[in-house]
Amino acid sequence: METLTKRLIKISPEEIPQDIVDEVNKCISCGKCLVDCTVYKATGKTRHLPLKKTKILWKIINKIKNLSPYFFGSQPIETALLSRSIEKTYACTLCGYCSYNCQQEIPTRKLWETLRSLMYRQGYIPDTLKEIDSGFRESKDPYNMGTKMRTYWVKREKLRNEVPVNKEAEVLYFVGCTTAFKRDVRPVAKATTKILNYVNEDWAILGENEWCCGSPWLMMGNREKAKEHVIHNVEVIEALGIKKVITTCATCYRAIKLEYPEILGRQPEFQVLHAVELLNQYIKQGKIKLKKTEKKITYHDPCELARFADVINSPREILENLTSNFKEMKQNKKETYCCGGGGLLQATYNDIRLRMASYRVNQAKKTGSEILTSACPSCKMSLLDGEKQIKAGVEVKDIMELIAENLGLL
Amino acid sequence: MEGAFLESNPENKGNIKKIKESVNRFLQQLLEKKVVEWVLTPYINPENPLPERRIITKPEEAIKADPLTPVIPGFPMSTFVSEITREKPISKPLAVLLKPCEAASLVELVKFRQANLDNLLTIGVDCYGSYHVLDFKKMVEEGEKPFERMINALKNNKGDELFRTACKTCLKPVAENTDLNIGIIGVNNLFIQANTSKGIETLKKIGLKIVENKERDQKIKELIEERGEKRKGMFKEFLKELHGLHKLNEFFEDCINCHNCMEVCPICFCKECFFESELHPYVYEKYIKFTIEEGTIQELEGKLQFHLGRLIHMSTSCVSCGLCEQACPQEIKLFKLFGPVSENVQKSFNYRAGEKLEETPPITTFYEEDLGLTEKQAE
Repeated sequence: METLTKRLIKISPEEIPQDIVDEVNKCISCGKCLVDCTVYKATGKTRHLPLKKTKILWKIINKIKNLSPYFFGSQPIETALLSRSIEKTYACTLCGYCSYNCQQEIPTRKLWETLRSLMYRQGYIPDTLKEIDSGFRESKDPYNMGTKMRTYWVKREKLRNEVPVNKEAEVLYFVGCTTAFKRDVRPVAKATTKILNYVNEDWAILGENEWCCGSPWLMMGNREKAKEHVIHNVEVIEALGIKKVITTCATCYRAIKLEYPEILGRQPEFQVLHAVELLNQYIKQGKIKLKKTEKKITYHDPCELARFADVINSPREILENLTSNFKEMKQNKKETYCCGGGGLLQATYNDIRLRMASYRVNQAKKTGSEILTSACPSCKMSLLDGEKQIKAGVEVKDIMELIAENLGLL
Repeated sequence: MEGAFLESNPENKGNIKKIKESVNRFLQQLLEKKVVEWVLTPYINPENPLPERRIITKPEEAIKADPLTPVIPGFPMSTFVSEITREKPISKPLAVLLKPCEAASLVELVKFRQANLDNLLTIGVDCYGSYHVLDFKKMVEEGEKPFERMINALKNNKGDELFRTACKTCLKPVAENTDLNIGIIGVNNLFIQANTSKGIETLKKIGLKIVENKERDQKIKELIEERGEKRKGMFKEFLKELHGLHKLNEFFEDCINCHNCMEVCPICFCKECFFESELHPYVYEKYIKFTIEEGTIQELEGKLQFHLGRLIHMSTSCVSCGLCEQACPQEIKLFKLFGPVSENVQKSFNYRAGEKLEETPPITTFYEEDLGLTEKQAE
């Protein structure tokens, strides 16, 4: 009997909100979410399919909310179900293609995040995430660098007098952890700095006061911890009287724009823009004049920009100004193929991420382009890794770098 | 057959709205008179164009039940019953509303000890045909009423082009092995048919007058005969279409190996499918190539192996519900293969899936002698 009780876990019915239960009940198993699943396309393993995750949720819900409670009261869950589900749950980039294809318009990302938070609370997460999790608590960023290192990029890129830190301003540049800490994408911050100074914008960064936007927590499944970050960030930004917050990171952008109001329960007092949206405004206002070149460029839509936040036209309008040789990839706009950089996949299942990235780089190569550009540091890192894998001969650059180069600022 | 008419008022004859109302009133009475504690039924959620499966505990909730709806949204009802009763039987009575194919698959699941009929009042629902879940959704969104369309097709006895292939060739419009049947075929008024002593008792408890109805028997027989002819012809053609490895490969060309057909199949109840287990290793390196040869996810043979393997595992118990076809995101007409093949397989074992509870499924009790071959043939 003792062994039996060890194998079971009680999960309280409150852990799954009723709206999630309703969404799971809506599912009709039509399988349309499976067709374009980006992870499945890269691995071919059925355990990575979206419907498997729905089925886990369905099974848990049946035990604690839907079916069994009517007859036997709330039932404990077999731990084996959770331990078997770790890979099914975490080998996913949360790219949202399943939700885009869903016939019943189920917000699948919400379901996956609920499932992850359920697994997280019971301690069923990949080992690598456990490390990130413990470091995260102290350092306020997923790379365990600490807030003091937040402005290190300013020093390294020799921009000490050019970056205003923590002052009242019109525009706030929310740098984001990946851009601040990763060498490969540091130039994005540099380019943004140069461009903002070029147009004489009244701007600042938060510096040591900036905490991670909270997305990694959300992806890991710890909504409470994410809330701390959200409250801190909003407090600091609002204290400076900021009107516009811009990001160069699609993940930060989606979090601030879509998750923050939901977590806070109110609309923050500032507007959120992705840097490409702001730059597109500059171009339209005539503050920036780009020279049209002949470079062959293609654009990779970050999922969180295109599918979740509808930022599709701004980058394209900029690129139309940049080059006369802009080409679309096979999967573009809302149907973009995820580069593998999302959903903490780099930490959990890097081999899948690399394969997804190479797939995407190959698509870029097929357009005959020299430059593959994107608007997200995670995408840039993934695509760079993918390029290293298959050596397609495509240069990977962020769109901010391209603009700064075009203006002769880099 | 014995049973009771629900609507004795001749004015309501064949009135579609009244059919739904009387079914719901019947369910309401079941709950009010404490014949059952719960009712598991397709249910109308105003926010969802498709019916959901829910448990009703209060008599006043019965107005939202929609057991006659001509669609199976996702998993079959038998999977839900299995999910509830697999580990332990329930203590108080539960009524379940099942379409004939769902009832048949429940019988198969009971044989495999995946479900338990204790304290279960199974109510079969006559099914003249059902629509593909996405067709159904489209109809509802466009303002057409699928239920009325089905009833009209039934009245004219002409069938409907839009019915799923499995339904067009279905020989089980009326559920067998259930305690009660909600009859709409071969009657003008809603007829509750009682098949077991439990069913008759239930009708008595509600206070319905039990009568004999031979007309319905005759009409059902006619319908099955008519469908049988059609089925024979169609199945012959299907098998011709799929004859040979080359044609099978062509048939499964679009398959993305998502195993969704297996996921919804009522018979595929294994906790871990062989084809997803470590025993069936996928060659990992094979997929690395895929990044270069974009588009080819997996070699064709892998898909074919899965489908034929699944066919071997479940064809003896296949109830021809056609849900595999409905679940295919690539719109492969899977029933063309699974319908005829499993019919032939079951014929060779002299077995019909879901027909008799006492029979044992051939896959567990088969001996070579059962095939009735002579020694020479066996060699």
